[in-house]
Amino acid sequence: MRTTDQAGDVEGGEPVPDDAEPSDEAQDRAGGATILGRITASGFIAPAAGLIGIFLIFPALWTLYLGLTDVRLTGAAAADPQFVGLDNYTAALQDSLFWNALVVTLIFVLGSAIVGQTVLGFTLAWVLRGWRSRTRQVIEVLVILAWIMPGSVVAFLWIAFLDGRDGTLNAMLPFVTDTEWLLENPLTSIIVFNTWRGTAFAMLLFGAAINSIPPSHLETARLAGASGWQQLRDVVLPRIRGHLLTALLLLSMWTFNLFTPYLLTQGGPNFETEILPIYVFREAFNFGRLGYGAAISAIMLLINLLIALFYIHVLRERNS
Amino acid sequence: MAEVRIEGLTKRFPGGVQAVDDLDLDIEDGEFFSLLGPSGCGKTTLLRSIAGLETPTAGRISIGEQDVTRIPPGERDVAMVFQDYALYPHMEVVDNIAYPLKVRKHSKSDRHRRAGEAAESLSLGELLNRRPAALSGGQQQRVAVARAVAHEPSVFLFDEPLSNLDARLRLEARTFLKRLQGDLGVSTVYVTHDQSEALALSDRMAVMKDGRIRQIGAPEEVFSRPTDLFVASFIGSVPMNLLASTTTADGGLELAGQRVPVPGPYEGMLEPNRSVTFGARPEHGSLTPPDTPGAMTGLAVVAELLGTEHLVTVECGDVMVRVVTSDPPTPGEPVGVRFEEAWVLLFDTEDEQLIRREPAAAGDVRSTG
Amino acid sequence: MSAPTRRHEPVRPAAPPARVVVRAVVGRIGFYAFVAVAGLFFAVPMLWLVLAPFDATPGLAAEIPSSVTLDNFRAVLENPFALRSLWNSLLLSVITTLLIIAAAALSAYALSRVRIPGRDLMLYVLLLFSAVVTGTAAMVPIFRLVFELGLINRHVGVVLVLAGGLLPAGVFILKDFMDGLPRSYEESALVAGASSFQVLRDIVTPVVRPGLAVIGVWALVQVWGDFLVPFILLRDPNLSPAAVVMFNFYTEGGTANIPLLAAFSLLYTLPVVALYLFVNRRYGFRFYGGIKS
Repeated sequence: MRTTDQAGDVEGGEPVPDDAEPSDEAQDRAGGATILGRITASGFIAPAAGLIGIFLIFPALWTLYLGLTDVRLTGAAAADPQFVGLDNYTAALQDSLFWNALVVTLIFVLGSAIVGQTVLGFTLAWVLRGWRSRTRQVIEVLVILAWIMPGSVVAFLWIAFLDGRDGTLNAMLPFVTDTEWLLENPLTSIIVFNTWRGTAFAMLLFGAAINSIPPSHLETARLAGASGWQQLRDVVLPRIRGHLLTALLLLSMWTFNLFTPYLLTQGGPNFETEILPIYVFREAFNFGRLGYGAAISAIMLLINLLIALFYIHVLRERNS
Repeated sequence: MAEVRIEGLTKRFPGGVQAVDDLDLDIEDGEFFSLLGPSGCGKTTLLRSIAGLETPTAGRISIGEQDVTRIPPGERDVAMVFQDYALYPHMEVVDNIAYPLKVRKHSKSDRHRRAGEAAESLSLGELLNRRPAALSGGQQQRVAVARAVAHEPSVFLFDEPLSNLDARLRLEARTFLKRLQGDLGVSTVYVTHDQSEALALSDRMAVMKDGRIRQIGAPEEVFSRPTDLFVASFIGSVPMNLLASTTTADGGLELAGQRVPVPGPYEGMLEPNRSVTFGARPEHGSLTPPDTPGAMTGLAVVAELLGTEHLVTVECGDVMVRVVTSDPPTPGEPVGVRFEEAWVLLFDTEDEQLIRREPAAAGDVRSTG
Repeated sequence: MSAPTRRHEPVRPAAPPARVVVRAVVGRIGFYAFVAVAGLFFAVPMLWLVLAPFDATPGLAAEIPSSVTLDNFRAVLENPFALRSLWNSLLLSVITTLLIIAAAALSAYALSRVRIPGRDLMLYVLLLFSAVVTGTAAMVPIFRLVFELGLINRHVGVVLVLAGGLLPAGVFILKDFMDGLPRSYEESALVAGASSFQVLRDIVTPVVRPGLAVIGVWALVQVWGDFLVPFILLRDPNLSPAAVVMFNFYTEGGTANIPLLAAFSLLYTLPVVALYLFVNRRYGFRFYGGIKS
C-alpha cells in the first residue's frame, strides 16, 4: 500500500502506462529515416521487386490472357495467336481426361500431403521429441535427406525400389514376388513416394512448434495426472494449431503443384497418375496446345486460391 | 568538451505521441547531467535527439557553439552508450572499441593504441581479443563505455547503461562511471529511470514527465525539496509520505482525523480550510509514545528491516504513515509519529506545487532553461 | 530443526505399482517398433544409391556388392553428357544463389528498416504465391515469356526464372534475421559516423551471415535439384543440368545403363548431402522463425 493513496489524485501515484513510450511503429519510422533514406531503400528493394514482378507475378497474370487464345507451341498460331474467348475452358470441362486429372490430383494431395506427410511428420516430431540419441539423429538425417536429394535421383531410386523383377521391396516382402507396383498400384505408389519424399518439412515444423511449448505447461498437465495422449490433446494441439494449419496449407499447395511424379510415371499407366501439372505439361508441350495449357493453369491457380482462402478462413475462425 | 543547449525542443512521433514538448535545457561543460523519469516521459527521445538519431519536430540543439539540429549523428562528436551496449558480436573487443576510430579513418596503429588505453583504464586489458559473447554482463558494459571513451568525444550520452546489470554490479559500475567521468571531465547526459542512480551520479539532474521537465537541480535539492507532488513521489528509495490534509482555523493541520501543528517554516502563511498535501520522508520521522502532543497517533502495523534500521508502517485511522527507526515497535502497539518540522513540505493539493516557504530559499525557484 | 543424523542404510523408494510398470514397458515396445519401422521406411529406398555405384554388376536391387569396383565411375567420365551436366548444374545453382542472396539481402534489409503499410501481409501472400507459380501453374506463360525475351536455350533464362520464383521465400526468411538485428547496432555505428553503406558492410552483413548462409544453402539445393524449369527452357542437351540428364538416362529408349545411372546418381547427389551434413554439423539444421501462423 502506498502512502500516496491518501493524497487524492496525486499524479505520481498513478501508474504510468508502458505504452506511453513511443511505440515501435513510431520509432520504426523515425529511426528508419536516419538509418536508411526512402530513396536508398527503394533502390535496395528494386532488384528483388523487378525479378519477382517479371518472372513471378507477370506470368501468373499473363496465363489468364493466354488461356483465352489458341496460341500453340509451333506453327502459325505460335506467331499470331487468335483470341478464342472461353473455348479452352469449355473444351476442358468436356474433356474427361481433365476431370480424371482433377480427381487424381485431389486424391494425391489428400493421401500424400494431408494424411501422409502431416500425420507421419507430426508423429515423428512427437515421438522423437526430447529423445537424445544417435538413433534419433540418424532418423532425422534420413528423413531430411529424402527431402533434399535431387528429384530425378529419388524418382529413380523408387523406380528401382518398386521394380517388379529386381526391386528391393519385393525382395523384402515374403509373400509377393513380382508385383509391378508402378503398373498395378500406380497412384498408391506415388502417394507413398511423396510421403517419403516430403515428410521432413512437417517433421521439422512440428518439431519446432512442440519445442516452443514451455515445458511448464506439459509439466503442469503431468502433475495433474494427464496421460501422454491427454497432454497431446489438451496442451500440445491447441498451442500448435496455427502451425498445423500453416503446414496443411503449404503442403496442400506444394503437392497440388508438384511435378515430381512425372519423373516416376510420366502420368501413366493409362493416365492413372496424371495429376493436373502433368496434364498441363502434356497438353502444352507434347501436343503444343499452349493456350489450352494456360487455361488449365488458370484453373489450377483458381483452385490454389480457394485452398488458401479456405485455410485462412479456418485460421481466422479458430482465432476469434 | 562542450556544453549542450536545447531550445524549444519538440518531438512528435507519427501517430501523435508527443514525446518531448517545447523543452529548454542547458547542460554545462563538464557536467554530469541526468535525465530521470518514468518510462514514456520522453527522456530517451531527448537523448536520441541530442545524438541525432531522432529528428526534432521543432526547436534547436546546440553542442558547443555549433547548431547541430540538422547535422547527422556522425558529425556531432558525441559518443553514446546504449542500454543493450550494441557490441558487435562478430568483432573482438579491440575492434569494437576501435570501430568509431576506424570509421573516422584513424590509422590502424593509432586505433589500437587508443583502444588499448581505453580498455586499460577500464581494466579490460586482458580481454581485448575476446568476442563480446565471451564476456560477462559487467565486462560488456565496460567495453561499451570504453568504446565511447576511446572516441574522445565532446559529449557522452548514456541511455540506461546500467539497467541490464544485476544489483551488485550496478553499484560497482556506478562508482567507476562517476569516477571516470570526473577524471575525463567530459560533459555527460545520462538517462535513467532509477532515481537512486540519478541521485548518486549527477552534478545536476532533471526530472521529466510527459515530455516536460518538472524540476532541475542538484540531487540534494531535488531529493529534499521536490517542487511538485510528482517529483516528491518519484524520488526516494522509500517513498515520501504524502498525506491529504486541511488547514484548520486555529493555525493547525487536520491530518488523518488528527490535529497537528503547522510546521514552523509555514507558520502564519496558510489561510484556514485550504487543502494541502503533507509531505515528509520516512527518514525524517521518529516514533514517540502515543498521544504525545504534536504527533500523530496510530497503530504500528508492520516493521521491515532495511539493514541497520527498520521501516515501520503506522496506521493512523485510514492513512498509512511510514517512518524509519532503529527501534521498531511490535506490530499492534500504539505509537506516535512525528516529523522534523524543518524537512516537512506542504504542497497545494489543487495545483500540486510545493507551497513556498518564507523567506524563499534559492532552491525553491523552479529552474527554467 | 537439528542437522540430519547420518543414516546407516541406503534409502529405497517403494516399488512402483504393477500397472505403472506394464504401461511403461508396453509404451517402450511400441515406441521402438515405430522408430524401427519409420527408420526402415526412410532408409531402404536409399540403400541402392550407396551400394550399386560400387557393385561390379549393379542391378535394380539393393545388394551387397559381390565385388567392389570403381569402374562404374569410368562410365560417367566416358559419357559425353554426364560431366558436362554436373558442370551446368553447378553453374546454374551458384549464379542463381548469388543473385538471390544479393537481391534478397538488400530488399530484406530495406523492408525491415522502412515501414511500408501491409508489408508483412504482402510478403506472406507472395510467399504462398511463389510456392504455387514456381511449381507448375505458370509453366506456359513462363515458357512464352522466356521465348519472347529470346532466352530459350540459354542458361540466363533458367537463372532469372528460378531467382524470381525463389526470391519471395528468401526475402521472407532473411527479413526475419534482419528484424532480429538490434537497431542499436546500426545507431551506434551512425553515432560513430558510419555511412549507410558502411553500416551495411561492417555491421549488418557480418551479423546476419547465418541468415545469408541459410538462404544460400536453401537456394543451392533448390536449383541443384530443379527439373521442370530447365526441362522446358533448355533444348540443347549440352546445356542441360544433371536433373534433366539423369531423367534422360533412365527414360530414353533401350535398356537403361545401370552402372552409369548408379555412379552418376551418387555423384549428382553427393554435393547436396555433403552440404546438408556440413550445415547440420555447423549450425544445426532447423527452422529459422518466420514460419508460423
